[in-house]
Amino acid sequence: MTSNPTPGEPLPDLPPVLPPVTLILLTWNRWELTRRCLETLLASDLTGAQLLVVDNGSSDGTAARLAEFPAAQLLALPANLGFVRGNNAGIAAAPAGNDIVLLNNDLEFVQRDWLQRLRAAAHSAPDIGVVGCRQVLSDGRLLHAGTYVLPDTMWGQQIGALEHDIGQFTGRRAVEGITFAVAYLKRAVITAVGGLSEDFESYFEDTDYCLRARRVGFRTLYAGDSQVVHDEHGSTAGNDAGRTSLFERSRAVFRGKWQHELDGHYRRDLVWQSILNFPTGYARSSRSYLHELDHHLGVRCVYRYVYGKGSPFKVEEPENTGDYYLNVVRGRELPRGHASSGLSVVYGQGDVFRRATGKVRVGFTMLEVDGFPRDWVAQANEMDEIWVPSEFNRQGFLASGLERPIHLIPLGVDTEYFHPGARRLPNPTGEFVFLANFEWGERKDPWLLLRAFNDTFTANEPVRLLCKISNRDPLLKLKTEIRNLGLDPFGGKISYLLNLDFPHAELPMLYRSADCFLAVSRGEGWDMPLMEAMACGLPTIATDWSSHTEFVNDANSYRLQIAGTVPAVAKCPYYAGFRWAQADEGHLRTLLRHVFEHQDEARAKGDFAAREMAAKWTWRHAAEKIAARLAVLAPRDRS
Amino acid sequence: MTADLGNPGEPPAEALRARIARLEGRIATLESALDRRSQELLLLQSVLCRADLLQLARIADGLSPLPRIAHQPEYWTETTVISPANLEATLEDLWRSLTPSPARSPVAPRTATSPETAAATGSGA
Repeated sequence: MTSNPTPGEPLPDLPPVLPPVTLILLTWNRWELTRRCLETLLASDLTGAQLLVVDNGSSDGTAARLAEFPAAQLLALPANLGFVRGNNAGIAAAPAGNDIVLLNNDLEFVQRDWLQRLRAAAHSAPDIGVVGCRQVLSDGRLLHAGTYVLPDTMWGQQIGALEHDIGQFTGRRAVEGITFAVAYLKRAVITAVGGLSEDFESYFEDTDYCLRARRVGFRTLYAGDSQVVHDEHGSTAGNDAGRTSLFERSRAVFRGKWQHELDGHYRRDLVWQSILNFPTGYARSSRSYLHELDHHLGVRCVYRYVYGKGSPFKVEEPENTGDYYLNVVRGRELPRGHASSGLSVVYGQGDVFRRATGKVRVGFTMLEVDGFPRDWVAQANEMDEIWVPSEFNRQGFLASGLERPIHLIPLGVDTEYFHPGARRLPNPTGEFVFLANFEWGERKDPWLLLRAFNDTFTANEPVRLLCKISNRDPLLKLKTEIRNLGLDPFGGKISYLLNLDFPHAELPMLYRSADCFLAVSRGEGWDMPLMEAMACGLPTIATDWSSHTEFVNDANSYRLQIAGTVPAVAKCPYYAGFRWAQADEGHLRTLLRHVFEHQDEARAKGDFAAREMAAKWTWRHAAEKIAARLAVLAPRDRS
Repeated sequence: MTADLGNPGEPPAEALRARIARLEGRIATLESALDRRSQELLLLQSVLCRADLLQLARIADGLSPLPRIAHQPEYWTETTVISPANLEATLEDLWRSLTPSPARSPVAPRTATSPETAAATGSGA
């Protein structure tokens, strides 16, 4: 994975000599789309490129009307040869030394240097063979950030498709495939593998091409800094029935060619017993671990819900995860011989470790206090090994009587979404915005936060605290709680967002719209929101105690001193008998004031935090640690 | 027949009577409109909730409407239901509530020093 220029950043210098490019624009009727495409295309920077329009036997006069665009050369085919043969005719007609860019005619080019960015990406390494770009819909949604195909279904999926565009996937990274609505093909790869496979009339030819390139040593790159608008299916609109039948034919061909090779991506089996479809930290992190392990690290994961009937949390899990990839992982059969020789990881509270199903069994958990409940420890001692995310938890487990091997497996952050280039909607008043995001309760100590903020500032200072609060406890009356704090109306201004569930993929916009993140809790099992805010480049103030001290330090955050530890008194039964921190309220006031009065310093700290999160704390880093443990626990290769 | 010329520079009496009649007619029309408006406001008051009345009053005064999702405890409805929400719309509402936006207002805004404006920009906790 690489992070490079984003669409808003200047383009780095191109290598001095790049091969010329032939742009092949394939058309079939829909002149109005072609005209729009050509107008915007020709207004962009086409330095080093020539344009060849391949007309696939249009009957609406497209070929004649192209005279309006003298910069375009025309290759008029006598009939509609389809996407593959049409493009191949163009590739064959292009000068022999040229790189090729395939283009659909339902594109709009709104970024002037889109092509130069693609060229720069393509020639940034010799083993890059195919490059795709970021495609967005005209309604503000993302359409394409690369593709993947699971061997279970052989149905190509577009990454990021139809998500609200908040600036995700704007860097460069290796992908399995791209759609050929926009495809940069280097001459070297064309020389090595030829044109598009005519085993396909349309569909799957793009992934097929990327896999053929991979077979001979060329990578496919997604260049998120190059962007086009793609009115998808505009090229073939009005032909739905034909499209479905075409798709199924191509899918069958693709399966025959690639099933074995795609299956061979997996080196190891794993049954992951956890939670996916509830709004919990375990569920969110489970999703990320599964994606990374299964898609990138060769671990064929089978998911099973670990809670439900017979567990402390009896609610059954909804079947649909809302994520195509995870639905497939969830629907897989258990690996053959799983009970007698397989490996399972239970990721959740320690009182469900005993539900592990494999021969080799791992319990993976975390807790926000300085020890672990007796029942968790008893169940942990029946496991082959235990994973926790932090040294804080490791010490807590050992002090509570754990006798099994214990290893550190961190959580991570998705820097494709959580990064400093994510879109922001800043407060137009210019107020400096402190943001806190928490569930109201004893552990997060909102009383301390609100009181300290209100005391530190006055209402006429350009600063505000924005609290995103959730409350699921019917016995808790937040209005009363806040009223009872007796906050000074002339003190620091506070606004609240109560019980709102924003799509997780959009949260970077919330973080980027603030200026400093506050994580003032008494204890954390990890604190993903803190890590996500740091990855977005926000300076943070975080209590200097518990698991997040794994990734928080003086260089990347403002560490809030604690006054000491106190009994962890809360409704959660797991905390009984343990201790957590009492943050130092005076120090919090000092830090709030310091950040407000030293905003340049704070921003620099936030910038450093973002770089550090991307360099050390992504989900890939976390999952690689799991993969390394799996290799020790189940050394036998899957094959 | 002698023309009623009156004093030089003054309108003729007939013109004055016509003007008075027009003004009386206008007053009657305004009284009627005022009465109708009072009836409308009474009707709105009887059917709108407090929050909607507040919005109406703010907009009529040239202030920005409060966000649809209340961000101050006094406007909360206590709930334990977590509701799906659009982040962009929520943030826009929130930020807009912190700044009067006269351009959006159907009527001329009051001065920046009016109490309502001060309250809108300086809401304490």
